[in-house]
Amino acid sequence: MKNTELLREETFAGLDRRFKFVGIAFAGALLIMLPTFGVPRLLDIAIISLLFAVMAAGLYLVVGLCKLFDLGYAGFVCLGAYATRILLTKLEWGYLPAAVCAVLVATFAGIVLGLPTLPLRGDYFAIVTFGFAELVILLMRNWTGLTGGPYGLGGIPDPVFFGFQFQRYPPISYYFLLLGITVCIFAVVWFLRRTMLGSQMIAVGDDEKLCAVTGIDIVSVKIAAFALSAGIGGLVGSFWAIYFKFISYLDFTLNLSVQVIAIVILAGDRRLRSLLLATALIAPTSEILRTWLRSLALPEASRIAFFGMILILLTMWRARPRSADRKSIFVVCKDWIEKVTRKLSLNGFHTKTTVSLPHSFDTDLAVSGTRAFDDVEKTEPAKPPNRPVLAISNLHVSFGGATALDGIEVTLCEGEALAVVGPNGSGKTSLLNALSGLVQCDGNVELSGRDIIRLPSWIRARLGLRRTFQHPRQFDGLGWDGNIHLASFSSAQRPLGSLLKRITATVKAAFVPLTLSNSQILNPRPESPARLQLQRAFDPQASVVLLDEPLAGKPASWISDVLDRIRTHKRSGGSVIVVEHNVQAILPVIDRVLMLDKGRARFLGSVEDYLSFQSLSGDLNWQQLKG
Amino acid sequence: MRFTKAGTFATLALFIFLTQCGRPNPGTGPISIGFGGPLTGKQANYGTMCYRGAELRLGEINANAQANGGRQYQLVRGDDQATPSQAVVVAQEFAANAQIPMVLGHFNSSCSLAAQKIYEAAGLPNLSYGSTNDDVGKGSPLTFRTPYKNSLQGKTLANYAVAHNLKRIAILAENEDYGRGLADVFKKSAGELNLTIVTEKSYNSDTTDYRPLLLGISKEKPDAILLAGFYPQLQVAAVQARAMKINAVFLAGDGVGSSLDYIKNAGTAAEGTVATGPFLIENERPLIEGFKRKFKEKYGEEPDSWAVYAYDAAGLAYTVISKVGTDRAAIHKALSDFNSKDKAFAGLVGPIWFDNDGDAVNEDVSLAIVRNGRYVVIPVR
Amino acid sequence: MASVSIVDTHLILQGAANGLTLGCLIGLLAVGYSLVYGVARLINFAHGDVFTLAGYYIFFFVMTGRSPHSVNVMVFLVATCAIAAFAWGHSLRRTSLRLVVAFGGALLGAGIATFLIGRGTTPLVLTVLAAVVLIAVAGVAFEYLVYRPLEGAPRLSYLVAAIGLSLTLQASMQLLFGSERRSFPEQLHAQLSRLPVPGFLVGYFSGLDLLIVGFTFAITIAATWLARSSKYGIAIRATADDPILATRIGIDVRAAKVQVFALGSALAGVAAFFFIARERVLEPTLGYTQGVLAFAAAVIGGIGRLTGALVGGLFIGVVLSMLPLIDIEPLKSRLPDGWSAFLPSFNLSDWGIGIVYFLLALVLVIRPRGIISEQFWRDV
Repeated sequence: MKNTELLREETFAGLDRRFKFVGIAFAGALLIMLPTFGVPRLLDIAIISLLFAVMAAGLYLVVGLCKLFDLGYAGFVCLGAYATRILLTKLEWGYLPAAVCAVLVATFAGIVLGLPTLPLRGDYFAIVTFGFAELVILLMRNWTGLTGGPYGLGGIPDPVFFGFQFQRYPPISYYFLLLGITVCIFAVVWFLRRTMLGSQMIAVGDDEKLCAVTGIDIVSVKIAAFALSAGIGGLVGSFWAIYFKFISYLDFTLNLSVQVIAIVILAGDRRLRSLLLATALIAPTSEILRTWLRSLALPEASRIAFFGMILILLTMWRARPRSADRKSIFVVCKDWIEKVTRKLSLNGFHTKTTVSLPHSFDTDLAVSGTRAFDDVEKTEPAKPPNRPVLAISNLHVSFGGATALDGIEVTLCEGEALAVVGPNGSGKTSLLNALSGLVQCDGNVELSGRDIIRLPSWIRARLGLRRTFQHPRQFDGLGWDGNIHLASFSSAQRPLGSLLKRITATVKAAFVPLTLSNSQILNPRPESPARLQLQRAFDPQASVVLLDEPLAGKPASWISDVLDRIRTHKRSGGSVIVVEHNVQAILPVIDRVLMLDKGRARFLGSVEDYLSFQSLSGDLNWQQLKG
Repeated sequence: MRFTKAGTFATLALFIFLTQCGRPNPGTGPISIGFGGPLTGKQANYGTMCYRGAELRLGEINANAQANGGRQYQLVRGDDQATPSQAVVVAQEFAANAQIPMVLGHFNSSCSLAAQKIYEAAGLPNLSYGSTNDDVGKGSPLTFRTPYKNSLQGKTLANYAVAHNLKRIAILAENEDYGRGLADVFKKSAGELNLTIVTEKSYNSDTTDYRPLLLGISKEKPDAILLAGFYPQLQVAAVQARAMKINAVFLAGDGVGSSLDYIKNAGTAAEGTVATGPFLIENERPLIEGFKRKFKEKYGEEPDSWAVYAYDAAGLAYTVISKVGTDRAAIHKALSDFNSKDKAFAGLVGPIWFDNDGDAVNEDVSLAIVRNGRYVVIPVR
Repeated sequence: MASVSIVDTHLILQGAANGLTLGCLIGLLAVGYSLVYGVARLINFAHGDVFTLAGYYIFFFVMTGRSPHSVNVMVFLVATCAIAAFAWGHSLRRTSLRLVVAFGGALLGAGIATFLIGRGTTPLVLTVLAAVVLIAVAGVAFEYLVYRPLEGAPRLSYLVAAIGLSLTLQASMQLLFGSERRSFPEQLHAQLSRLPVPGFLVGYFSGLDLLIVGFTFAITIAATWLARSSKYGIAIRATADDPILATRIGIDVRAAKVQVFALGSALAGVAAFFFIARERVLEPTLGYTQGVLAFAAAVIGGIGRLTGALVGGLFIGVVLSMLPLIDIEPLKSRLPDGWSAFLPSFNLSDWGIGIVYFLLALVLVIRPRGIISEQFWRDV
């Protein structure tokens, strides 16, 4: 098994290498030699395509990585363009300081917009960003004194770099400047993905709930992504000003935002090459269409109609419920090229590209390297009680009219393991949700003496609270190691602080590189999510671990592994709360049992007392349900 | 991998070689003159009229050339949709096209202002047949312009107001280049003539309900209202104003005065509107009659006054190119040589010659009042 | 400070009356938004463009004589009828049979188009009725074409598809109908404004205004009552709350969605007629401007609540109407010379739409459930 796996890995990497070499060589030569080709409008089309590429890179951070739907990107480009123009003409700055200022203005706007709106849910956020872009345009339109108002602003001079005067016609110098900017921005984005901040962005885009319990500061990450994308938009705007030489509010309407969104949606996955391919497909087409339609005296409207239909078709293509079904534009093209070359019998490309191995739990153990322990038949002797670590009193959870938990009271000590049992619907998972902060609750919960009931999930995670889910969750965009590293990094960070400190910490995460190989980042192999979340939960920093039905339907080897982990954790002073139906299996490591029924605690005490309670209760219904 | 590397370089070399070939050949084909204007969009009717006017003139020239053996001329469309940024894109196309020695464009002032910088950088002379903003000629040495300036309209309207004892004037201006420009020059002239501007309200091209603005205007009880904008919006505003019992006299610029649709759509509300405009069609000069007839024959409808300007512009372009050829610099010099009345070009609008800024030296702009559903030209003084 | 002449109550009342009517126009459109959101949980960005399309239907039905543009209405009619018929035949197994039904629908659409376009002599009421029915059909067609294939997709996909649909519709109307502004012929406007008005309201409302206000209120109250009390309404609300459970009970969720789209589009059709009749404006981008106002109204009143949509509409209508009465120009004179050239426009009407956007964003951030509290609705 291992050998075939390695072989596939190598051929995949080899294929990858070949494609990469060919791709980069071609692209590089093409781009550098472009101005010399005799095609008349080529340079203009190339410049506009590169502009869209940079905008797409900026939007990629927000829409591609964090999966936030930003409809107002044109607003940032607009701010950058106007800022540059005003600084260049009214204050007679050079282009470089003007561009820097434009980026700062746009970033500032991004932060101001992002702070109140990023917590909003998906479509509301989209609408607010749309409103923002429209407000920016309105501001530009109504501020005649500063922005030329509805007249627009012209008279933007050609920049002078170190004595070299740019010439607008033909725009060769502009082309190379933009090429440089594009390469830089893409390099920045590429590097960002290989840092901890990039992982956090991917995580936020994948599963926000999981982020919360892993200790990731979602709001800071979103603000960082949003601000960065706004800054890139500002940079594009500043180039826009000097290239087009005339800007008006009509240049930066929803149409522009929509075109960039279309590119990002078309790209499909999170790879930069898909983004580039999507830009190469959409931007030149858009430009060529514009010229062609204009020569036919067909209005701009036809181009907009075309884009509208493209958008609808793209959504339908991309809206498959399971993201695994969705192939990126890059993979689609690659498959198509392979099919064609195979038909033409050109070179022997290997056929299989996707690798998915069936996993059994036995191999899981081999892969992750934990040892299988024999079942320990006897129970652990009861330890003398240590300091209380989790104090729950008067816990009350209700949804709408229904009460899930009522008046729960229990104190967990260090090194203690508590089992929570009870029939379905008795409130066990609600208890875990309330403790980890995913659900609103009333009452008193203290973790190591600190009241956590008003604290959000991610702070609780950073204070040492961990949990697993009944249906295992993982960050699909990151591999096994990515998940683990991200989790341990995030939960190791400082739990509390002002917003400024939080954002500073998030920005610092941008400089923490991932110690993973390329293939590990880009080819996250499907792993056993259950094992992954266990490993994540039992990291060294954890103090209280909440397990939600870890043994459900698993084989004996798995069960003993779980028990072993719990033991190790207890020995090092941590505590565990386990929700479990398979009470027999979990008893060896349990100190106390809490039995819930319809939201109320029916029993709380040691294991021996519980066993006698159970035999005495004679509650037949419950006996049948407990399995 | 070796094969791949070799293959890549070979393909690249071939590709680069192929792209270096195939440069365009000037040859002796038809001469292309660029035409920039709003061929689609909200002001499409203006642009289409002008395009047809220019096309009509070139058609006559081509018929002549076929008989006498000369080069043919053709118009290359550049649709700017009355939007400056689109005009820039059009300008870039024209500038990059070495086959185009001269451009007729643009119609809207904002478009001309935007595009002229591109033309200037490429040395491409451009002749506007419709822009009235004062800065168009000054903006670039390569820009020439045949219609009158906004300041002339403002002065004419202000003079009319003084002459007819309309002391208190409210302004309803579109928040766009033309409307604001006209309002500004009117305010300047009004200031010089001691008229009072009681209030100024502005609207956007997509405003549909002018009643709130008109409420504010009616509060001040003005004698006259300056309608500074284009007729699609102002025809609605006029109707709403009359419905609100605002009886002030309507003074309007050529955004209203050059269009018959205003009278058609505003109906009785349009009666009594005093507008500036070219009014060449109403002027009933014999040359214009001939043009009207030919236009109607070819296109099936009556031309508007701007088409006359475009006709003349095309004629001027032909005169210049046939004399000095297709070199852009030579054309520029030739256009600048029309710098006095005796050297003027004889157009349908009258003698056309340019001052130092490239603006046509014009007589007074015409003034007309709407009576019985028609424009009746009235004397300016 | 800002000056509104207290003596001129007449002007203020006129402004308020205008605001009321305008607010009803916006509110009628907003009810459509809320209706669709309430059941299908999606924001129909294209609702404004359906409104514009209805306007064009009415316009070309009312105009006498045919032009190339009026014939293009045929394109929309045939296409929407065909698609709606195809959707209607979903119970038929064989695709070929469904295509036959679609063809039949297309023929029907073509027939109606030929009869109505450019005739000009049909009584106005019938024309408007026909247009409303046809636009409801169009609404069904759009739902089938664009939203149905996305069932089960994340909510954002709906939004993107809706934007795509809106752009396509807007651009197609611009291509097929021309981008110039149109109005009804003068006689028709005169006819409409001659509707009777009770004496004390003359000068504030015209007959048409009263009709608009009355109709809007009536429709909203009727719809709310239907939604709250009737069996049908309760079924619809159940669908909105929990579609899966609703299916288990036996409610046809899909049919409910289609019906609510049809109803919403029909309301947009009526709103379109009122709008062109009162404002005398029709252009392809109308949907965008009015649609945003209506959407903001729906959100401010609490999206999904019909009465809230109307209240939101009235709020926006009155605010927009009253803005020009507030004159802050005098403030400019208090500033040092030379400053005024660098300041933004002091004309509040310019900022009207901006204020609406800002309110929209504010409501979404602070109170996504709208500015009217839950308690208020329970007491009402």
